[in-house]
Amino acid sequence: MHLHKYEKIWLAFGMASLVVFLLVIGFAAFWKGTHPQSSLDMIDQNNIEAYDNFKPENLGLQEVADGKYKVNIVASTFNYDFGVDKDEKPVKTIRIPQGSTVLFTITTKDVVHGFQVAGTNVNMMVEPGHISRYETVMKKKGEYTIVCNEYCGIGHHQMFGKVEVY
Amino acid sequence: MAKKHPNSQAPAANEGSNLKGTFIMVMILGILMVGSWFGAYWLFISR
Amino acid sequence: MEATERNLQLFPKKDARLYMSFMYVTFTSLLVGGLMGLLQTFVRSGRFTLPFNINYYTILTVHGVILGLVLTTFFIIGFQFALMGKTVGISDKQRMVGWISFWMMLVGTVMAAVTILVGQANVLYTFYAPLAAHPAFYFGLAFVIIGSWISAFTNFRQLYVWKKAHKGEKSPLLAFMVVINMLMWVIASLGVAIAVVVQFIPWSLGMTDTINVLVSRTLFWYFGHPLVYFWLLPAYMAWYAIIPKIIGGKLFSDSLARLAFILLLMFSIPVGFHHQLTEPGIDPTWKFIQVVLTMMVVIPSLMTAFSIFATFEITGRRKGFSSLFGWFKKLPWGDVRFLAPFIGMVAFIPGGIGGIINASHQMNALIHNTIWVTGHFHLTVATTVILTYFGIAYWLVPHLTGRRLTPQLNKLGIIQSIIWTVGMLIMSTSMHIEGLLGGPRRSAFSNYAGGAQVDTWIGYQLAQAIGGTILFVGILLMTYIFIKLAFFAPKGVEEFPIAEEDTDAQKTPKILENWYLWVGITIALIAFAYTIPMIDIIKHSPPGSVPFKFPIGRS
Ligand code: HEM
Ligand SMILES: [Cu+2]
Ligand SMILES: [Cu+2]
Repeated sequence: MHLHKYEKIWLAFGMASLVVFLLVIGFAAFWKGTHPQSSLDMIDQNNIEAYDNFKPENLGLQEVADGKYKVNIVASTFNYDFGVDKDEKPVKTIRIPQGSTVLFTITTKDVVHGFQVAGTNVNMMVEPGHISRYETVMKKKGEYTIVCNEYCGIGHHQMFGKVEVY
Repeated sequence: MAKKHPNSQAPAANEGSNLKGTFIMVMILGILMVGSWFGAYWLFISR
Repeated sequence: MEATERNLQLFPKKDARLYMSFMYVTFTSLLVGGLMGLLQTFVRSGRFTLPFNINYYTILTVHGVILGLVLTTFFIIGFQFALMGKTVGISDKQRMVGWISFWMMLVGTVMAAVTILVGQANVLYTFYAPLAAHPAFYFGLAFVIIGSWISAFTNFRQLYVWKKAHKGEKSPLLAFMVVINMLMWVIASLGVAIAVVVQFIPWSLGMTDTINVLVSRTLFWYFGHPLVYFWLLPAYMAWYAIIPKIIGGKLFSDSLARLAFILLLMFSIPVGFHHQLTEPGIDPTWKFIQVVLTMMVVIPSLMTAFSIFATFEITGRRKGFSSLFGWFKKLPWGDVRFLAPFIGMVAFIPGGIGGIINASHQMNALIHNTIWVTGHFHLTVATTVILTYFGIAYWLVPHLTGRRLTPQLNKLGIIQSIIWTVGMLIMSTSMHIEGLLGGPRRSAFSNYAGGAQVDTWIGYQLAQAIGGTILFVGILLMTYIFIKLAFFAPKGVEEFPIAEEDTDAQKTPKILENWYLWVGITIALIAFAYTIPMIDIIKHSPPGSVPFKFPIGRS
């Protein structure tokens, strides 16, 4: 089998580019810890309240340290439970100061859902029996729509929320 | 393998051909690939 | 028989009837599925609601199943049967088995389609557990898969019989390619077959209480990536071995074409995790390993790009165009058998680049499950693959029906290709941009929580409706052309354009036909990429999930 000289150069260039891509994302993943969401923690989806994060009083936004927050969420068809506000009304908007580090932790009570804070890198699958989590810094001010981006049934497009970075 | 062809034209179909145009085309494609990838990577980092 | 003579010799009626049956299903699917696509873009524009209480997700399931699974599989199997018939021949018995395969797949398709249409399977074409469709849907899928295996084994047998009669000769290139594609298909669809038969069917019938969700998803995606290569490889067959003939040239390199197909076989299966990059329960190191393997599968496509350009250039230069790009201007732009696949090739440049971005591990979070992904595969499958299939149909259908692609039909074909290009450019580009802005896929129209972000999405959804309308016009035109070619075009002989090797081409190394070796490496790579993570997933399983019917509107 014979390769033309130009084909050799082309394949060398192409493969070198692929290696560069892999080195960049590999370095970011293994040394900087920016793997995609890959939590290995499990939970009994029929009894999620046994897990601290998902007790009703722990849902929604909590400040854990200066500039550090966590948000616990329970997904179910077709709703995100962010806890309740002072008037016992369900929270629909999470308000976070600009520049904070936020850890989103979520699980589902029933079928598979998605969880994306549109316009950020928070984008994860939510599956029964598993816990998904992703930490990010909210760098820019603005309103971000939370969407369920994995089909979960005929009300799928009515499953949403909002993050407000101020 | 080429030895089996005493015919001196054997590699003509391939090695001898002028493939300059092909080379320029694939390299444009390669640059597009690298450019778009780093564009996407930049977007990922900036978010 | 002389090759040119063979290209002009029509199939016996009995053979042609089998191959045409697959084409009828293909183009019926195109019309039905395309109509759904149009309605989807309308609904998503926010200016239209479906009549008769039809659910958005019912039509989306029809669209995905009919176009993604049915149209593709029927076209591929019909086309591949024709290639095998042309290059290695088919016996009476093999033809009969081919019919069994056809009917089995058709029965499966009808079962699944009816179940979807009566609203009992609003699960989309990926049918993720624990959403539970009616068992008839899963039975239908099982029939389609098993029917396709019957075709695969018939193709293996066809080449085997030919090899026995032609001791020491290398197999015809196209027959070799068909066998590679079918080997990949059988190995890959084992995954989804196990999921359907072992997990979904007993669970939907109530024979088992729960299903392991992550295992079912992993089995699905073990199949899901090679599925897209199963669509692509017939297009590559045409690019390597048909297009050179249409432009009046020769094969660029028989050996390199075979090598590319072998690499595609080896690396297109052990990569399914790149569809599960943001899922919990899978170790990120194993995800990364499969990302590395995904990059390997890019290499044969880099080879393909080079060999296509080189075929064009060599052919042009032989015809006497010596300037740097003179050969390019002289390609047969007025021949739809060339133009449609050519546009497909061009679409594969952004399509392939997008694919590399999608598969880049953590960067997947940028686009996962956004409408960018839909934009991506409407470039790859709904443009690259489909336009190449159309390009094939323009000569294959008249060759099978003993008619001719007349100059008028050729011209309509060119208009069709341009309409498709314009429509897709609008639809796919706006999907890509909306996706980067976070707009989700697989969603009926919604204002969500309102606000500026959602408003920009809706703007792009309007653009998609415009692109979708243009595309649907293209589908109507294609249907018209197909009906003409099948029933009304003037009688005659349309060439079956198979390119030949140069008389002075280098000999193809024997090792390229060592099936045990390549299948062995393929299986070893799969075992490497999947054994440990699969054991982990099974060992660390949460409680299983019961069937959920109410979310998809079943009571
Ligand atoms: C008239 C032409 C077409 C139009 C207007 C169209 C439109 C669309 C739209 C808007 C979606 C996304 C809907 C959503 O995510 O909510 C979609 C999904 C899809 N399309 Fe098309 N499409 C067309 C042709 C095709 C063709 C030719 C194929 C394949 C051969 C195809 C395969 C698919 C698949 C597999 C999906 C994914 C379904 C899912 O996510 O479950 N489409 N199409
Ligand atoms: Cu959802
Ligand atoms: Cu894939």
